[in-house]
Amino acid sequence: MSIATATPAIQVTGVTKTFSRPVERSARSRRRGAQSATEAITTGGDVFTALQDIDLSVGKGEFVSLVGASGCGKTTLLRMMSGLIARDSGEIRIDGRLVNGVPSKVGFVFQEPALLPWRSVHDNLAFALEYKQLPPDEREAVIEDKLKLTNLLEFRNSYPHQLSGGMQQRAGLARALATDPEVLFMDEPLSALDAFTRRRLQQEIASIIEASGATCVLVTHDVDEAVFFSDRIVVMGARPGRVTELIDVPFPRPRTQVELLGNPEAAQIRDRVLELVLGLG
Amino acid sequence: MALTNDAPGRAPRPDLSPVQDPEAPAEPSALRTFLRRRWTLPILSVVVFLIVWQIVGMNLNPILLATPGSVAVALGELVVNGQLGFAFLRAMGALGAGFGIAAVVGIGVGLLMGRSIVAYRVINPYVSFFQATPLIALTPLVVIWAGIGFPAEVVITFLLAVWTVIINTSEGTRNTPPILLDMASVYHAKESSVVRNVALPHAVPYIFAGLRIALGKALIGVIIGEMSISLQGLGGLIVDFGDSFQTAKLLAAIITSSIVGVVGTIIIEILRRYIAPWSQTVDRGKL
Repeated sequence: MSIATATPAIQVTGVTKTFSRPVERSARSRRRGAQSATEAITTGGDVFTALQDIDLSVGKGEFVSLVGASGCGKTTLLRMMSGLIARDSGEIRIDGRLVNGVPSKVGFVFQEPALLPWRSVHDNLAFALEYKQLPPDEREAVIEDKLKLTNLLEFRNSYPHQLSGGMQQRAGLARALATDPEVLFMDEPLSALDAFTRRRLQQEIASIIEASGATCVLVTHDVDEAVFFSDRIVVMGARPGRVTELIDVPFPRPRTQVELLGNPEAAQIRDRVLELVLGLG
Repeated sequence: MALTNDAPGRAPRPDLSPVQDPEAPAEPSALRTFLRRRWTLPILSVVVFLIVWQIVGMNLNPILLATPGSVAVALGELVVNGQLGFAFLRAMGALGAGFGIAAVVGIGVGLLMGRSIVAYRVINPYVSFFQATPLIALTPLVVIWAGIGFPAEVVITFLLAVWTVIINTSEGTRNTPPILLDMASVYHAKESSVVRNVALPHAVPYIFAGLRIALGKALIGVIIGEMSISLQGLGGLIVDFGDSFQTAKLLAAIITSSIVGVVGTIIIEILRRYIAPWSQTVDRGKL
């Protein structure tokens, strides 16, 4: 191990998470736990280990993807890193500070757009900026800037249901960027989109992220997507959830879909990841 | 093709199948087109009902069943001598006060129960108990507490209506999609902001559904209250006319009490459109 020269953006040390599943649960907690619960069913008993002894370090500006079969706890890990759920033991630090609740300077792109249906695109971004209490003109400038970045400026007054799935997810991204996050967490942000929209958005997101310089952690089921975005791919295994292998993706960023398509090295990396995820490695 | 098709003047579907019966008419007849109009059947239904009622009523003792004609005459009489107008306003007043307080208290308590699991567990037993209790049975107790008169009737109205509002508000709030709550915590929204911007707007359709049901219960409270406590207003008229076998006037008073309910429903609907225009999904086909 080399001596760390700078504080890593995210440092995960010895993190373990178990879930207990009482027989009777309220509808709310059932739905709240659903994402992690479906990922982490490892035992039929009352307590099961979603994640065991996870160590992971993400450098500043690095793009890391978490991939793995269902039940490996990747979404749980992402949600713990972002402070949305608590860990049982171990340490998670963002920018050197212990995570306890959602840290400032963190952005999150959800699996669904998670827009407030009763607010326009503009007002959804304004909601995310509320806690910053910016002066109105400054706030408007930020919103306009992020909407321009995501090509949504002309839809600023549209309501979510008036937008296509891809546009909704772009609005979710614009909102995540509005707070100028240093760390951006993305939980399968493109999984609900059709293949073409997904490809196009991957390219757009890549260039937006490049410009922002944010550190990114992405959970995805799409190995091609992981290869396209990441500097490093974290392959996770299930029962209990753990990190099985770290794979470097050595191509310089930003990348284009086209240059990776015919690249034999990229194909090799993709095959290796697939083998590991499918348990063939 | 269904007669309930409510698109007026809709062009007949182009017939792509080979012609089987050269005798079949190409255009629907004028009668069928008329019947398919949106308002034709409801109006026709009511008119036929009134005619049947009139014929049956004319052949019965008027004490058993007054005819629509005599009810209309009685209605006119009661409006002219001012009895009905006063009774109507009194009922609207009791409804406005009892239901209004129930709406405010119900939404408040419901939000609290929806956002705090502790509050939910503490309050829910009472909500379940009172929701299941025939609260009209509390009338004597309410009279002992509040005396004979308007305040007691407002209390009865409130007691009948409030539980439905509480239940619907708390269910709507508890059903806020977790992803929106996660989103709110990512952006450090305070509890007051979560309630105002996320939970309450999400609960609005549930709340208005609850208000509409509660309005019906509140109106029962108003009329029963008047019938059994003060013997004034619409409830008082209903008892009077019933006891003196004035069936036409009795029906006129009953119809007036449904008008109170209709006016209340319209006010709620106007409020909903004003407060929550995004919840207008139900009448999307209307234009």
